[in-house]
Amino acid sequence: MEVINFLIFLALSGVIILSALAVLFSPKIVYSVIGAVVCFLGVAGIFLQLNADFVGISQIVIYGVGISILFIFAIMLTSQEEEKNLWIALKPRLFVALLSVGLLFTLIVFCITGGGKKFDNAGVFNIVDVEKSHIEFLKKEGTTNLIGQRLFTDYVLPFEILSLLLLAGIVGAGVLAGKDDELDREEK
Amino acid sequence: MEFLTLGLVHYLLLAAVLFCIGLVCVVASKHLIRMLLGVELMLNAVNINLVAFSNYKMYIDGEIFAMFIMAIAVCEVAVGLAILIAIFKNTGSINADEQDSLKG
Repeated sequence: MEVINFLIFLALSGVIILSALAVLFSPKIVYSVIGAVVCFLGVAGIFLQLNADFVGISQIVIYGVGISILFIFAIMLTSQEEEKNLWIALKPRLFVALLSVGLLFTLIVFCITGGGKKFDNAGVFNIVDVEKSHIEFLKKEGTTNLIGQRLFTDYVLPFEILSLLLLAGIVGAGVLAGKDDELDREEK
Repeated sequence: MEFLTLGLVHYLLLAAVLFCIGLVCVVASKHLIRMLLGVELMLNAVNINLVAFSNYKMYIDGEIFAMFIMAIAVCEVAVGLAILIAIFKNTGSINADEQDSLKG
């Protein structure tokens, strides 16, 4: 059973990393968006494997449907003919970026495994496995009830501020990308 | 060989790799939309981190934080793409190297 879990994790992480590399190295921008959508769906699979059903389903809806549609519309409205020289930066910048990001990744691995000493599946956190009773409870009830309880008692202030932020985002995006009446009148 | 059983470290390593790929995507790309896709990859990596800790420490606050990050990412993508469309209307190109009107 644990081997199946590990194989599912390997398959999902392979999908995620390959599609992220497709985002980075695709010459056409539409291929990058398709790679990003596959990456979002892979991340949703990781969330479902981590017993987070509400977050996983909302990841599919918000990222896989909403944000990909936004990107496709933006590509449609800003399409240029020559896309070949928009692929990736010139050689020095790409190599410096890869080198520095490689250093960052080494630093993160160093911090997680405690200096390379604790290279097992718990790292410096000393957490090995989830309790069976917790997993049974989550399989029976799901996380929606827990999220709802905490969200509307302890975290109600960030929730209200988030609704104001969404309103401001909607109005602002509509104003920024909308038609410019003064410009049209000047042209006439 | 305890590294072959699934644990917290595996999810953190996956999130680190995804974050680093998103960071290269932002820094080393000439197309403005690809930069925004890199930002979305970085946000997803952070979400994987949060939900992994929320699972292995058996509390729900990590998932609530991840939901907030998802909602804020939607706002940021909407406003960012609106700004990008405005830039395209004003300058006519989405090449990141050609936006140099603030250059000295």
